[in-house]
Amino acid sequence: MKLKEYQGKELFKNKGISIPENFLVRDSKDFNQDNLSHIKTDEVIVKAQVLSGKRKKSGLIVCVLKKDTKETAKFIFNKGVDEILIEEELDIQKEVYLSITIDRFSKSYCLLFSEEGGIDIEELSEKQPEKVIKIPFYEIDEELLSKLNEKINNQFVREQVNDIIKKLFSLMKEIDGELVEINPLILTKDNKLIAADAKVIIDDNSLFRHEEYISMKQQNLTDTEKKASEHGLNYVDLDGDIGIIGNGAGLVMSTLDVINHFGGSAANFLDVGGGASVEKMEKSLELILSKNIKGIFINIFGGITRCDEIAQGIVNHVKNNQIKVPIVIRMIGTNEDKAKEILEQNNISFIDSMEEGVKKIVEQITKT
Amino acid sequence: MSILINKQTKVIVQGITGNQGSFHTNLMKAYGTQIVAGVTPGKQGQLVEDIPVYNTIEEALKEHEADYSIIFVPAKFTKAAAIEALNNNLNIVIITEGVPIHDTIEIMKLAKEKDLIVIGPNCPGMITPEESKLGIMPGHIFKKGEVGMISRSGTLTYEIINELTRNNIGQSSVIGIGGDQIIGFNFIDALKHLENDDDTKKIVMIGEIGGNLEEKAAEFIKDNVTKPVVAYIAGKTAPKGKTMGHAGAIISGKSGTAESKTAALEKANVKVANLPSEIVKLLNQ
Repeated sequence: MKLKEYQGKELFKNKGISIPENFLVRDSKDFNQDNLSHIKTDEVIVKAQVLSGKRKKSGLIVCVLKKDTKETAKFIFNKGVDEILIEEELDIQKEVYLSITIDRFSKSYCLLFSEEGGIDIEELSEKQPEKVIKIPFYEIDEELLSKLNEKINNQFVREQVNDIIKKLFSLMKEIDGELVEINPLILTKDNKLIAADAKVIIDDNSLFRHEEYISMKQQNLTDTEKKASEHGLNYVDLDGDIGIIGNGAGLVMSTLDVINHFGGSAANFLDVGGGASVEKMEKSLELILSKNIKGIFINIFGGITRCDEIAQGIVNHVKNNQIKVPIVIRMIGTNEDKAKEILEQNNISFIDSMEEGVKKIVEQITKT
Repeated sequence: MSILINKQTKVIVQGITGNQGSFHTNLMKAYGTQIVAGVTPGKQGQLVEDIPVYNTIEEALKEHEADYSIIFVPAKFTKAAAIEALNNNLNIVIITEGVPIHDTIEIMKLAKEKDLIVIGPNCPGMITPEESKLGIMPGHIFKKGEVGMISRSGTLTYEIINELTRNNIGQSSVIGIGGDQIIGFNFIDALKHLENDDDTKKIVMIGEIGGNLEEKAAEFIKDNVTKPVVAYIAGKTAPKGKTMGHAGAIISGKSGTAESKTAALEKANVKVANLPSEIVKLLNQ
């Protein structure tokens, strides 16, 4: 779950990591003498608080004269933005990059630092890897910091960054962060290190122990994705017209690939998960039918998942609604015979091969 | 000999009295797995089937010997369960999905210090067909044979095993390594074991988008694996930046794409299937 810049900066501030002087507005009316006067610089940065990247390129971060702040904010609000951060302009001497993330291969945390900040760190890692310092670690100790320090050229950066790193890691552990990134971390002309941006991603698996963030989880999801999340379904909106329901993330991803291979296009990713119930199946159908789709492909390999439960869910839904699009059901595994019985009693047939099933649904929607 | 587990492997089930724990204990036992005891705090003295339940692993180990613990404990308590098992020198299989990353890192750190095996988390477990099953996979689709399989997926693994078995291609060992961002036993660990296993003649890798484990495995295969390897990577058509079910199945920026994994594997002379059904063809080539 991604936090917005101002939320990340709030966390930094509370941890004692310096951030620029700023205030948040949600409406043009939020501007007053007081909040603007706290900003001492002649120019301000007006920053849309949205989760998409490359805000500067899309004109969602602009630097304007203080007197034009309100106008600029209005302009950005009109673009559909809900929250804007107004910030003092920093007197930049140098931009560095600092982040702590997880390292999948080392099964640990990873410190990333570059004296060349403000850029795309991935690109820099690829094109000039010698400029990126990457250190996997479990704890921040003197050994780690010396390893880092011997590679930092700028004395002021070197002297201040250790403290920031300790605070950043402490924060990361407190909030169950997957990534805490400061890009750029700015060295001002009077040699102070200030976090000019904040990118914080919280581990979704940890939300059960962070009540304060649970309500934030809904942001950046489409309407259907939000509904799915409420029902405990793993769902992603895609661009195609064949609704997909499957059990198991790998199986569903593979189904999307196979559909594509045979000339179709999936409307969504939906994993009902292990041991799915009749209710979950009904909810899944409801969800995918809420979009404009031309056909449905259901792919179930029943391990813990009982095929007869899935079949019952499908039958319940079909009975209560009129499904006008072709459905192809592929089911195999636990209780498949019972499932077959249930479906056939209700005049719904199924196929036991995934690829044959895909070919069939693609064929059927091409006909209509 | 197959790898990691066999008829002699003794297992403790943590979370044995829960829904998932008890359900799968029955199935594992029926398959032939030697389940010696179960652990659920507060339930000492109970029986699941005829398997004795203890409050702690330490209590259980006073009366029984064990090699592995399989964990069916909810995500909230998984770290405590895993650490308890590791502190008692047991290798572990973590079935649980949803374990927080910071918890997983702690588990991995301890496992590394103790040189113990962690399979998972968020995995279906592992099976040596016709000998032992430590997991939730449907036993009847597997058949003893010479193909070793390593997979990040659950049901996709069953899908592919089903094809293999139907085509008379049996399996020596099948290990579900899990779908999370950080997992224990990975492709390289499995490849090392399978390369050294006399019963394994061919290897199948089932990967998916996210991370770089397949790419690292490809590097390893070039210099260390002589047996033929066939792979399949799910998520070719997945969009960037979206988590596709598995916490670890996400393309971040440019890395973790199916293309990158396929290219790396092909460079290592691994045959990469375009469809699940192609795997049988490639194994028979």
